[in-house]
Amino acid sequence: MSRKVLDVKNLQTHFFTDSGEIPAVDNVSFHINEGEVLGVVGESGCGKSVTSLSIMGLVPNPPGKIVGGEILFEAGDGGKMDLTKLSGKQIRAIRGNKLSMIFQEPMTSLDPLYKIGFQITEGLRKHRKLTKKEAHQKAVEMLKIVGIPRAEEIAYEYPHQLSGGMRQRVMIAIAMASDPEILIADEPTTALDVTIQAQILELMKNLNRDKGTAILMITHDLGVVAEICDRVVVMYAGKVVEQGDVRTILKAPKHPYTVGLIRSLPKLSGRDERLYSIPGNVPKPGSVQTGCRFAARCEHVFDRCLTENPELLKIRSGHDCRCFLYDSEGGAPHEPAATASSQKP
Amino acid sequence: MLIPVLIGMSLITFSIIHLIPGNPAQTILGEQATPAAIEQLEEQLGLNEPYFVQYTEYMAGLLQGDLGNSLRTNAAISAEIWPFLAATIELTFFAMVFAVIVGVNAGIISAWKQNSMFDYTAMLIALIGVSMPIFWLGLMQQWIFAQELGWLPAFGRSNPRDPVETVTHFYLIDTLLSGRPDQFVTSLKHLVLPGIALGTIPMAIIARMTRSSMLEVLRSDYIRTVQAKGINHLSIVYRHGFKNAVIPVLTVVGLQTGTLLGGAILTETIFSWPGIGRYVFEAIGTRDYPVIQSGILVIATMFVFINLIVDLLYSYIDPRIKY
Repeated sequence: MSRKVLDVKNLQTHFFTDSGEIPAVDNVSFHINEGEVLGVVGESGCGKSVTSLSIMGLVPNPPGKIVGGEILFEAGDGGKMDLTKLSGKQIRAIRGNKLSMIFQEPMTSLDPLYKIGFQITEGLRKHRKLTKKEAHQKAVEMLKIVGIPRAEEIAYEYPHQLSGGMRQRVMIAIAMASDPEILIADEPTTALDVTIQAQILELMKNLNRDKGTAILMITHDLGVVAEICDRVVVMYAGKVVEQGDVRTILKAPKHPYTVGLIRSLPKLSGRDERLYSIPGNVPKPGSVQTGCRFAARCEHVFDRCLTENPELLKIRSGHDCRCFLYDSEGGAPHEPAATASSQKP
Repeated sequence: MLIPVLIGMSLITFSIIHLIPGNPAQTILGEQATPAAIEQLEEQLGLNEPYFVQYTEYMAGLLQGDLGNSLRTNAAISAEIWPFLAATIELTFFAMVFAVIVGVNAGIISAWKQNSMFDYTAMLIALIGVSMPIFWLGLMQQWIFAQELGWLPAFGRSNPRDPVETVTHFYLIDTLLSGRPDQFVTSLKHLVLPGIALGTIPMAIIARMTRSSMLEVLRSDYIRTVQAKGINHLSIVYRHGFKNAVIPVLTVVGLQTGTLLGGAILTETIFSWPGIGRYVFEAIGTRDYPVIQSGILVIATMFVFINLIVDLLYSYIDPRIKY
């Protein structure tokens, strides 16, 4: 089995607000293998962004705080550390160096007052002590890698002179400049046109293949998952509800929520049918105390779902699901995948 | 922009000063003067001409760099005004250096440590600073630091028994030119109390403006990007944070500097500071029209000029701003 570069164990990130403590990330565990692309999927507010910020140590504090769990990071040189235990200085040495992140909003994620070249190598200059000339060469090299034409000139231009797609390429260049072990991408294509989306995904796929950088892809878009990910973690209301390799999750999802997510994708069958949507809304984090958090929206709900908290069950090797439907040895009494397909809307 | 503003300015001043009741000839000659003597002096000073002619002659002089002569002393205003102007510029400079250094840093730290004890204290002081009457602050300072503690002088620009040899009329420069470091220290000491009194309001405004501007910037996406690069706090806050937050702060600094250069009559009066505010104020008392006219023109020019510099600084700081 390949090496785990990142192993998140029982991560709990809570927000302390006037209306009480909100568990935005509630006992989340997953791992990323070396050179792998892991997708984290879920609706808005399910805790996927907070998970990624927790890994980077960038949860806004106050009000947010990691209250429990471990984030084990294993660098290529064999050093293993728990990112939640590091001091500010220690984590800054890793951030932007072995661990990089790109954000959702390319239009506002670059400092408008500094030249592109400077911004690409700002982190590197600090981590690697580059000279000005080396830094410029590196910036141009990175711009070429991410496919920006006129790299020499662009390095001297400002963010407002670039389009959204170009800026996201620059963001990727910033993140990749230090050859990180892990690249965290928080919905990197959400704000972009569809054609640009495809290009950016292609670029990330190539970087993953050529440099072997592991990618944590945070997204709500199953299309992105199908395009780029090797494995998928599905999150719902701060918890992991299902995880497995991408084929299994997309072709044979087990958790009713995942099933619903996939059913709600538009199909190109051309038939004039209403798009499926999961009834109800994501519960506010912390509002469901007992029982399954998806119970209120689930079409297979039964008594046990409302009184007990389901555990993440192993369906088979590498495929876990948090649902009581699968909580009996030797085959489930209810088969939601089948029921779901028989209940065409 | 500059030219029309100044022409408009001169027209308005000209109209207003001639609307004020009072007669310069009468003031110069005194209460007992005969109407004939007054008329003769008026003719001599050109005051019996129609206003239109007086204004055109004044403007024609201006174009040749002639600010006119004082009715009272008959000296050329361009020569007479400089020592007063220099005194005001020196005081303003000191006050603004104090206001910017204290205000900007207090604002930055308050924003960085929002809702901390420092934040609350700094903003309370800033609130007191903007609300406190300046004459009261000046008097309190004089009472505590000059009267009771005797640390700092309360009046004037230098020790009157040991006059500074003037070249530029900036005492901090002149004392160094004449090789008198002791006088330099004395002049600096004379600047402290009026400088702080004058700088308090700008300091408070700058602190509040910096804080709110910084708070907005620190929440922005690009700050998070910089954090994700592993850059340390100091660099995040000053290099990326403050540079992005500086534009509104700079605007306030420009306006405040312009206002202070206009002569803070209250402060200058309390601290017996021979500045431009008092020069013009005294001219109003004696209806010395050319001095009022030219004094205000000089003040307005500086105000416009400072704001021009601020505008140019905008485009230097922010590549998105182009003129």
